[in-house]
Amino acid sequence: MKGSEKAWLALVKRYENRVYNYALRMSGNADDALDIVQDTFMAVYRNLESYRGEGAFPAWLFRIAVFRSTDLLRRRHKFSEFFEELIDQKNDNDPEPHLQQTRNNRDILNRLQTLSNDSRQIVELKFFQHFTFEEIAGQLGISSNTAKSRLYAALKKMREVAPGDKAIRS
Amino acid sequence: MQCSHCESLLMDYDSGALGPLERESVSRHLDQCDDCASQLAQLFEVQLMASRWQDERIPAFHPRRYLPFEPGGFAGTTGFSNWGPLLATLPSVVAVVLALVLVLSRMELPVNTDGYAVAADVSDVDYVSGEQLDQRLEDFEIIQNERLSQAVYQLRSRQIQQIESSQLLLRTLLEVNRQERYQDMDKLMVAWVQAQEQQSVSTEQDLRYLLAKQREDDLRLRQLSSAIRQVGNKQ
Repeated sequence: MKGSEKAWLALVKRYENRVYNYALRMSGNADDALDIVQDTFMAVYRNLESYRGEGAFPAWLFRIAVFRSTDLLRRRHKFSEFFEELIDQKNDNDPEPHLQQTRNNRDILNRLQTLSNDSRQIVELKFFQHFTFEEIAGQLGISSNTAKSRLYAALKKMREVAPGDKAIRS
Repeated sequence: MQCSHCESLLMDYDSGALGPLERESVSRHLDQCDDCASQLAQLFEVQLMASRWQDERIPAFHPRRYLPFEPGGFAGTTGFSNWGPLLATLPSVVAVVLALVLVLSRMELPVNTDGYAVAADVSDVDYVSGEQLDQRLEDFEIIQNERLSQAVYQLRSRQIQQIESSQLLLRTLLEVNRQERYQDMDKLMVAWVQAQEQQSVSTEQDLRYLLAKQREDDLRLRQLSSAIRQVGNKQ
């Protein structure tokens, strides 16, 4: 096996599950999560040469993951606007039974889905991925002060919305 | 301290990144401001929620197209190794082409004024005209109709046999049932007759007993009346 392929395999092995769990929390379902993982690593592979070592690699990787997940979720949201009733019925009756999830994870997913995509993104990057505000700012293309404001707004939103409620997503 | 400022410092306050003076200031504000205190509590709650997440494994069925040598995946970073998937299918393509060449090369399409034929590796070919073909079709149809009629006849015969067999079975069962009932009736009669005989024997015995008793009573009566007469005579 070539050296570059070996290195790529090692990279994928190291970060694949992390990206998958990130995507799972962002999208709320395994199918979309797998799509995000696929898109992310394909994009990482294509853009690997552009990583010059500025900043930690995970931060760079997740910049791509954030972009891919935002893009997918935006496309899914447009899709759901056309088929709103169908989606609502599906969500009411089908809590992703094919996922082998713990009840705890399901509760967390439900809780995160009450947030808008932007709020969920910031909660994910800060509390689950443990990036600094500077790294988050780079990933989202905003200032670190804006990142902080968004985080606290998200926390406030989580206080207002009880678990099990559905907030209007932006 | 204003709430907006306190809020912006909460993360650093929690992680211990604030200096002592700033930390003291935030603590005092949290003691006085329920809103900020709730915000801090919410921060703890979300941290706890995040710590409870159990990482899930990526499903095994997930097609990893970003890996080399996975189905549909790209193979490595060099141009040469990008030909890998194509090279892998080459033997199949060659085999298909070879098979087509072999089949087509053995096919013959001889044509004459009477008709045409399609043949594979046959040197002598029978040419069949349209009329002959029609005749063959007619003969074939006649044979098929005959076979169909025979098949229908055999089927009906079999059905009749089955019906007769079922009827025979039913008759046999009825006869057996009747015989059993007769036997039961005979047994019942015998038992009844025996019971009657026993009863009559018992009745006869009772009668004899009663008669004997009566005779005894008569004798005693006569003896008593004789005794009474003797007493009367003496007086």
